Amino acid sequence: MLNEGLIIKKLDSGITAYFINKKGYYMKHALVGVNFGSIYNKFKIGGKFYEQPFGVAHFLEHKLFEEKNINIMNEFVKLGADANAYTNNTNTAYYFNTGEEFDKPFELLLKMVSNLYLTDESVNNEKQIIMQEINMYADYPAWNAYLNMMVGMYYNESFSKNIAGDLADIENITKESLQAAYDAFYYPENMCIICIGEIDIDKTIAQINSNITGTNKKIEFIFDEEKPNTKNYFSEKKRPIENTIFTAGFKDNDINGDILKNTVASKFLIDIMFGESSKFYEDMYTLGLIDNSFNGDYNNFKFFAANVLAGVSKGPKELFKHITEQVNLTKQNGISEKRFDQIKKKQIGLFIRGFNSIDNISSLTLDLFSKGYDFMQFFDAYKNMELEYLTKRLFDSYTSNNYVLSVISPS
Amino acid sequence: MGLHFIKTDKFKTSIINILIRRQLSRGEVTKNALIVNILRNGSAKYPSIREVNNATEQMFGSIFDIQVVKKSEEQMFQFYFEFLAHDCGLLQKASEFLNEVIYRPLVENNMFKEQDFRLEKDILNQMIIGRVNNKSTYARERCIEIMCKGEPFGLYADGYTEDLDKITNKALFEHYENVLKTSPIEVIVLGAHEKEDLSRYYGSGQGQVNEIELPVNYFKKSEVKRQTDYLNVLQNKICIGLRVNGKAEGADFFKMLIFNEILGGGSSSLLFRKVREEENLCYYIHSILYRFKSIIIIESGIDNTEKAEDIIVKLIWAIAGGDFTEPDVAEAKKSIIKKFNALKDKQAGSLDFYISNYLAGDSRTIDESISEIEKINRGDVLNIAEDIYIDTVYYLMGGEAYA
Repeated sequence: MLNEGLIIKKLDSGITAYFINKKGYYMKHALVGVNFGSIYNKFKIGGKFYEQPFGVAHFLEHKLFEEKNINIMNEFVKLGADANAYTNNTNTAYYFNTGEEFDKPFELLLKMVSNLYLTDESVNNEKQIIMQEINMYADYPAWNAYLNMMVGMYYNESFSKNIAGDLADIENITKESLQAAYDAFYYPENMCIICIGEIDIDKTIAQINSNITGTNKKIEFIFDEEKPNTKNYFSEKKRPIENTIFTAGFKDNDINGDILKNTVASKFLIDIMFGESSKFYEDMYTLGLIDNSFNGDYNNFKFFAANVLAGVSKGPKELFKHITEQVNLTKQNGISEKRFDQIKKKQIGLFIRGFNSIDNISSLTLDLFSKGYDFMQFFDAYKNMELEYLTKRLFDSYTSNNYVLSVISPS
Repeated sequence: MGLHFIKTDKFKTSIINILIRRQLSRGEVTKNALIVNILRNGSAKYPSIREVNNATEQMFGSIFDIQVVKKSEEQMFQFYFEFLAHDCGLLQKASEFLNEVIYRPLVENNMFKEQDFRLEKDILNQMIIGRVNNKSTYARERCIEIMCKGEPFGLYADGYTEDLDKITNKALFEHYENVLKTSPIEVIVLGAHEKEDLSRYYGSGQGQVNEIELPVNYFKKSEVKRQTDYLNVLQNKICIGLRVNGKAEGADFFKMLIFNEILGGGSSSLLFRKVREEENLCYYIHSILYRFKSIIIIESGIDNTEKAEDIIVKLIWAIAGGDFTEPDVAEAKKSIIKKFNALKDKQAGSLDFYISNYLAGDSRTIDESISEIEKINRGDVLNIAEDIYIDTVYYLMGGEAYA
């Protein structure tokens, strides 16, 4: 059912390269991924302790596109490629798509991540742009609801902080902090290359070997103590919006288990209990407590994870009562084989569908790399999932004191 | 019914898109939006949300949705069904399912089920009111509403709160029956299926050519319309609407496309370079071409709106006066060609390309369109640039930020 021709090679430098052949696709895609994201602001290397302002990973992502007197974005365009980048909680990614020749933009991508050019002036100019970016997101109520949920869920500020940082954090970022982060995290074993499309693998590997060098090291991440319960059970903020929206989270404290199995089991559970074919969904819809925007997913960021439900609601507190009721009912009554089979079939179909998109394959591969896995192993976890495991997961991940309800209501 | 077939075997899923076409009109815009919400959640054979979803989930997680879509100056009911390509039996199941939804809705006393009618009215109302939640989209839609006042395109495809109270269940149902009798219908299938298989479910449909009407030309230079709305936004938004003297079909379309790309198509565009990179005034700025209306909307999230307007307007007039180079044109062409080629890898992109071309009476493939684009020169772009005018300037401004 899934035949992507995945090839994985760990190269001499320590970097891992993934090759996926997408027959018939016009575009070719290459991505360099780094296991450095917004949560890693405190770390230790070789006995030395570092504490950085929030937002460094994202700021660094912006700065890597600058070289002395050269705008690298434009260089990609001249070579017929479209470049972009993103930062999330655990990773930074730099990538391009092209319909034309692959090697030249690929060479440019490798050179770009291997060199960091910084001046005080360029760092200051970027602050303005990033502050505008932060302000842009601040106007998205769904994002506000999610962030407030995270703040209520985690004692550890590294986990709950905005990826780009806050306006005040940006002021504290200096040329030195960016250089220190780059030196610490951008080393081969901490990185991967993902190539998708009809690409000459040997030629590409040769290019990687000539460009990616560096000393591998051991980094110890330092996180503040996290507790099994959440900080606040409820948070409500007013924003200039017309409907009330909410994000509800259940903190997953079992983060040291089998990540793939737990992720699949959690996704299945959310679908079984709260998905569009559940009695819960139909009842809540008829009561007017949810609409088509209602959605749920399991987010796993390696060091922390949560089951999250969100959407528009006229009565989020009342809805949340029903949500906890549904959890208790499911624990009491169990899950039927028939229901499990239907959801498993559905989830496998959706997983396969995800492989229509090169961007999706790429971001999935990077996320699994940061956790030590690949997508064929992930697919196996889907196919092999059993009802007994689901039931165990239900009791482990939904307890009585691990929830947060975050509401954004009209002002 | 027109039957259209885009053959490809590279995707994991196939898609059936059924479009019921209506002219955008104030009298029925809200009714159509309401019908879509009612139909989505039940039919005679699957009379509840749960049963609809049980049916699609059992088809290997198939995806079913109905939307109202605004395209050209039409409002379309778009029925969408996506299913795993490798399972041959699914084409039939999908077709039967769509048939049920469209032609056998859930009926009680010769009307829609009253409970669903009332519930969906309320939900649609919430959605209409909620438009204001996404500030950048809201700003753009307001700009279009003001710019195209009196034109069908200026209508909101999701309808208006004030209409909802006046709509009765009986009238709505009769309207839908009329829609089914009188509207052109297009069936578009994207996948690896054979034409014979499709004809089995939809009839040959090949003899049928539905009528297409291109929108009226509203190009008429006049005084700039200005509007400022106040909401508590953290970041001000500016939208500037330009009118372009070009047609939706033929070479004009490609010229407008290149012009728009140079102006604000991406990170190499003149707007991006000037306003973000040079002046550091914003994070996002770009321009969008509405092909069938020959309008361009420039939008940006920017705190210093007056300074931004001044810089943007100066840049527009500079470009209109020819202040762009051959390399700018070459780069824009390259960029557009890349975007066209990228459509081949996306089902949604391929479908949209096909439908847009169909509505413009253009039967070119992606590759044929690319050949046309390659022929465009700086003179062509200058012809378009010289004859633009600023129609509307819209601001969405904030007061204090709420913590």
